[in-house]
Amino acid sequence: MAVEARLETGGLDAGAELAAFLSGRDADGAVVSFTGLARSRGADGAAVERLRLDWHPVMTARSLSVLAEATAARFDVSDVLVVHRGGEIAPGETIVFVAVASPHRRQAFFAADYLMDRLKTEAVFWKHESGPGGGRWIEPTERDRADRARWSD
Amino acid sequence: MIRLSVSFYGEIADRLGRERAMVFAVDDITVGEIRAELARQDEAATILLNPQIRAAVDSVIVDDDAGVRSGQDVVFFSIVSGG
Repeated sequence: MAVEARLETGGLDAGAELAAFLSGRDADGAVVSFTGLARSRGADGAAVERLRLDWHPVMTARSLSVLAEATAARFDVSDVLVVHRGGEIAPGETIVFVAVASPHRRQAFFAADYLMDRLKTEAVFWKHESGPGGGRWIEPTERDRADRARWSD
Repeated sequence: MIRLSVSFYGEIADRLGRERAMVFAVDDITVGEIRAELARQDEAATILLNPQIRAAVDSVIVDDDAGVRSGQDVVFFSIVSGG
């Protein structure tokens, strides 16, 4: 099994990541991937021109690894990949890419869903949105926390 | 004498900057005492007295009673947003 977690401070090409993840794969029956994009509107509908993800050089990368490993341990999956951006991100750009391979599709769907729910609340980032009306720091929403709670052990 | 690098992440970095070098003329110090000293020196740093501001020493999250040695990296950070 391969579990890979990467923090990218430059661009993130989801298509290239998926192509590489699929390449040479013949033992798994399923790959589920998720691509998260920066939105041009905040949760309250305000325009967002720039998203900044503040990150810590050790704690952030480690949190991605811990969550990817937890996903691999919980589900019947062959490989887990998470690639997450840090730094400045424009609307429409990819923030996060997750891919999970499994012999069976259900486990792959569950694993990708689980990993994203945990990333949305536990990954060590500090998210700041800025737009014409100024800037603000973002915390996990109640919905994010409820999504995470679905998986409580 | 204890010499430390103290850094700030998230919303508090907007108010306090990214990093400060600090020197304490003592032999033992805790995270809580560093918090209190920063707040005493700088009114903007009174935000560190909010218990929602967590701390890490050498990238390991700790409580306020954790001891800190000279040369260690102390981080204070706002609530994480997730990815």
